Amino acid sequence: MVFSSVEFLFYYLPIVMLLYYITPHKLKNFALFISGTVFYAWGEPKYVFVMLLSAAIDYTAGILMSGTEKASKRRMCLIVSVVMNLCLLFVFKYASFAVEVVNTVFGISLSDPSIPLPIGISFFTFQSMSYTIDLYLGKISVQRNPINFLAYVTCFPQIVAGPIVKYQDIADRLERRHVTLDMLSNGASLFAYGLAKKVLLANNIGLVWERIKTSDYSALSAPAAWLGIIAFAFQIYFDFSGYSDMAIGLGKMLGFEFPKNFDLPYLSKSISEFWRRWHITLGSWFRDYVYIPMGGSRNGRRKTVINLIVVWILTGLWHGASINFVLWGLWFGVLIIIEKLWLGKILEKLPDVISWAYTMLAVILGWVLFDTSSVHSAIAYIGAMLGYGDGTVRAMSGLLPQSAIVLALCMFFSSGAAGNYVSKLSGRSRNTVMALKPIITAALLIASTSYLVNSTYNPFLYFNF
Amino acid sequence: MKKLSDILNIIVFFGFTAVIAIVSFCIPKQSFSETENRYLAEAPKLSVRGYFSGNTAKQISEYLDDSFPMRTNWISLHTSLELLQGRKEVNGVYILEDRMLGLAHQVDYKNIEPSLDAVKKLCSITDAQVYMLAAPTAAHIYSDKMYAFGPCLDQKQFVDYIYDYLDGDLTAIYVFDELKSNRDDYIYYRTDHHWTQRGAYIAYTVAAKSMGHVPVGQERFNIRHASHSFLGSLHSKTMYNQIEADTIDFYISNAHFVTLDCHNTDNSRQDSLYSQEYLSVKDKYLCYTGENSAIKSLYSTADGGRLLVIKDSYANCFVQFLAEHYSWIDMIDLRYMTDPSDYIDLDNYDSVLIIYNAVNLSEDNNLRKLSLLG
Repeated sequence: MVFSSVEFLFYYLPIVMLLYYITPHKLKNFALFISGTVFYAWGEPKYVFVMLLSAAIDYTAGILMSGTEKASKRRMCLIVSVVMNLCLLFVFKYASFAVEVVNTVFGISLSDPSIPLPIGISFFTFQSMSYTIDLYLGKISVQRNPINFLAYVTCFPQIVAGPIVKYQDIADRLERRHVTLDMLSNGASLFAYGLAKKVLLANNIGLVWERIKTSDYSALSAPAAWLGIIAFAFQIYFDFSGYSDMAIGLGKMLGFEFPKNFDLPYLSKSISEFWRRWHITLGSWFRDYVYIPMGGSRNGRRKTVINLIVVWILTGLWHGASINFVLWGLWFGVLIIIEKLWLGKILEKLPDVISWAYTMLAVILGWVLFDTSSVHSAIAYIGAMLGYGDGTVRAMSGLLPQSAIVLALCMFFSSGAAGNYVSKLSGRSRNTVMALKPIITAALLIASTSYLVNSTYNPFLYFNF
Repeated sequence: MKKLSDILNIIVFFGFTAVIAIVSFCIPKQSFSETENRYLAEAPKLSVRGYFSGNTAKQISEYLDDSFPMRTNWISLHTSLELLQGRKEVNGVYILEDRMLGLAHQVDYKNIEPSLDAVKKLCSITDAQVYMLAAPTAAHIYSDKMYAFGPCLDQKQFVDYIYDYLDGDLTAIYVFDELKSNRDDYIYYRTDHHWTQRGAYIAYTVAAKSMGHVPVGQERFNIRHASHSFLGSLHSKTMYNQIEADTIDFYISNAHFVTLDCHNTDNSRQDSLYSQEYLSVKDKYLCYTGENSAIKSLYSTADGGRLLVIKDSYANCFVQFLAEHYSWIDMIDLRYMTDPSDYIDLDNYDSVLIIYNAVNLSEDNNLRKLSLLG
């Protein structure tokens, strides 16, 4: 199930919330486990067992680890848990890619296993690994209650698309939590904002990218190519951050405080800063569980560079099993290394607008790699951006005039201007903000609903049997 | 104040979602949607196999989507919001001030070749004279008013391509210029994807000449305004209510008496060229010779030969004019049959007319079935 669907918003959500609130405290985690399993099984009727298997492995590893003082045994438990999770991830996500790479390198033709990717596997494996790793490091104490652990893994708000909530982030709340009026109301608002971001902004601006992405790149005019990739930059931001907002909002309604996942990334003035503002929970996962355990930046310049390269290749790969994603990760890795070595100091001294322009250019070129189908087409696309296309697909024909307003709204909301205005207003006239809150929720819900319903509307010109 | 605002906010959120769920369970279920022209999804039967194949979840989603309360009002709201943000294209329809246009996507001309080869074969096996009329749709006639989002079918170029391909096999009837020069004369519906009978008449004046007849003047017909409240398929797609409803005209011949022989899907028989009973349904274009069906026949008191019309729905308000020149017309719609030889024998006809609109021609593969003839 996805949040932006009729079945989730109008059936699953009110029913689950009602049942959750009337469930006695002791059974709330059980309710969470059941509702999360239903949520996941809706989209993955078979692979729900993969998710439960991953949870069972980590729970058992945790119990065994806590039952012994011996360092070697504890390490064994950790290794089993991590290896098992990575195996699941490898089999379901990377097997096809690995076969392709092996075939290319050795010139053989192993057959593609073509295993479908279970929804959210990159998220739930990472989440549950955070538990065994932190337990091994002694940062958290063991979870003996299997229901509590399952509630953490299957918690429906974040299971399919993050934020990647580390076990330590919500360990306390898993034991006892309360939903205050404030949390419920803020959760509802945050969900409505997230839904509107996804349905009204991301999907709409996404139509522009879809049209340009599917056209012949050699026919694109330079403005059309730029418009297309900027549209994608907004699409992925509003899509992903909207989904995170919905997840965090739902978390609040259930009594959780999930970590922030996006912090106006398109205001960044360096790539390092961009990655502190974009998909924050993923960056911090890789920092805590890969970069720092490898030694981070403590072992001299050469080792730091190697560590960064490894982390960024892995970050790229995490986003998808293809060479484009690897290069995309590497692109950021290299820029971050250069920034760490010398560019960062220069960027700080330059006027803001120049360091911002550099960052956006780097991010946008990155998006080309990210969302074109191959390295070859990425190069062709960048060629079109530089004006090598023959210009038969023009931005002005209908694309820009018909999407100028959405584009302006995207710029406005990704610049944080709306948030600034609200906080200024709440300082001056708190009551206005208070009065507006339910009205905005209602307006966003109604507008988003019309788009959700429209997406299922399917009239036939001729009667179909 | 803050507490009140929070309480209101919570009521708005959960009230809105829950009320919709409750209402949808309470309102009586419709099985057929007239606006969407299709049967709505039914509540699925639950089974273990259905669960594991993922079908159950899909069917439940479809069922919930289809039974959403006040569906058409939400579609209207969606269209208004799209227009508000400067979008002109909504659900495949381009919305102008005074009319809507159905958009057609660019196609790969290669895909149409098997259909054209089937037409070529038809021409080669029959002694009858074969004609083809590929009509433009409104999207071509008013294309200068449109700034489309993506590449649209260039209907003129497409029809030129088809006619070139079939050059020498049949007689092509080219009606683009005649229609374009009459475009302010209400030749296309404002809210439907068909031409009006006026548009069909103009195309007929060109077609008759090509087919060796003197076109009859408009004074030959009594024009009856049968309805002024036709909201057609483009309205169904967008639920946009700001465009004036269309008029349905019946061109009734003073000279000849024409009867129709048509079996509907429910086996009812229809014998009138203009069926009044469809004036009360949403799709009033059905007044013109009724529902689409595999074969319909027209018998006219006119003195003339036998004509086979291979057609889409653009012919439904067009054949009335041909009945001034032919005594027997069989119309077949290839979309509703698997093998045309089950219905017709080519030897029976003096002439054959293939009439389609250019968009259908570009998207529909059913012409290939003609290769089964002979």
